[in-house]
Amino acid sequence: MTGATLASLADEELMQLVRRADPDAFAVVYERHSGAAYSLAYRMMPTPGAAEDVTQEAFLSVWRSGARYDRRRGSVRSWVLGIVHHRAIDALRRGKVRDRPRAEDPNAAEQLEAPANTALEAVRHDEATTVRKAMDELPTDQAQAIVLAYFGGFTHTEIAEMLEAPVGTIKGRLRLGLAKLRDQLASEGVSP
Amino acid sequence: VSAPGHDTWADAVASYALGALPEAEVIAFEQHLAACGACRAELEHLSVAVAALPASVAPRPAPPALGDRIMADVRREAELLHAAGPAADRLPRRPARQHRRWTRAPRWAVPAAVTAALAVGFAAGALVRTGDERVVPVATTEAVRGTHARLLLGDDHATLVADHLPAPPAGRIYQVWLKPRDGEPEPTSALFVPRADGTATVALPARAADMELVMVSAEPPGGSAAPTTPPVLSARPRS
Repeated sequence: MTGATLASLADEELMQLVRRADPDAFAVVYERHSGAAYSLAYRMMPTPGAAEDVTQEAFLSVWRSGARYDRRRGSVRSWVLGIVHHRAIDALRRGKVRDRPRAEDPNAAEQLEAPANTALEAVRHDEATTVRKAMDELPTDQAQAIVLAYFGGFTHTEIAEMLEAPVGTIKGRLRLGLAKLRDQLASEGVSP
Repeated sequence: VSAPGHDTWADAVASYALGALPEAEVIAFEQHLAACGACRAELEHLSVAVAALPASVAPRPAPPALGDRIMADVRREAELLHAAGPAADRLPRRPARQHRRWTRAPRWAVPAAVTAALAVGFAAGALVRTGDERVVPVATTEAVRGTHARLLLGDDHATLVADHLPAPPAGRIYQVWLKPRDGEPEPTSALFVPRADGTATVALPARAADMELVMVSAEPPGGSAAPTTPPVLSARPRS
């Protein structure tokens, strides 16, 4: 199959080829999602080198375990980003890294804007704006707990210690914050 | 429908969805999750919000050299897998009359190409440690494409867990083999077929953890003294 033909396939169709060890199909999947994957890893990890390591581990895992992708459980993009997230958390906890300045800066996402040079990029740019807005509208303590948990890789127990709050309080903030975020995104029509 | 213990775990769903549940609690929570429809429903609900979070991150293109490194690994492995693919695909589909040739084979007769394919699979993931158990990835061949399997190895127990595992060919069952370093594969009494939904949970001898290879092949009912078909699943507990 030519590169142009592959590029016209949906992610799910490409994953069927990846499952059969087609490196050209994998290259298209990488091309589509490496930016989002690296951006997430960069946000979570303390150094660009560590972000590259996490991204590399995640994509090689996608290549080697493509068979595990189940389209009923979400998009390829969400699946890839979920793997990046797990790998980043593993790396942070393994390294006992405690210097994670990016995780404590919920506004870091605003520092760079996406180039909206294609229709797809424009849609993603809109989605990014919607998600940031929804996060901004959360009560500060809920948004802070979510950012520390998801981007900082901290457990609810660690967050409770950091913020000198009972663990139950932090669990509650995470739960209420996520539920509000979910409802807000649903009302805006965002479905990753 | 909520399961016993729901009140204990209900407020852990969001932490779990965010990856913020302490590692020591994850296994117990997942056991509860498996039994609790209410928690599964909430997890599904909240996961939509979690999946949206990466979209809020400042975009940053991946360095070109990173893509070059990844694609170099991928193309190298693809070459190995393609060399192995036809053999791995063909063998389990042999007509029954050809099967006798395999049953007479006195020794472990895995085509080199299949071994290569499995070797690539082994690179799939480093060992993962969860609680007191080691989790070892299991390599699969084309014959059971789509299967996801792993070994769970504890001090005094070993379990093979699989999902999306197709049923063995008609008139066969799966048998687990333990191959020690420098030795031939030894039969075990671990004979099984996957459940209707493709899942399987198989108790293995604890010494599986010390083996060079743990393998699964399709065998006649009652099992074989030596493997008669190439393995469809294989794991290296010691690597």
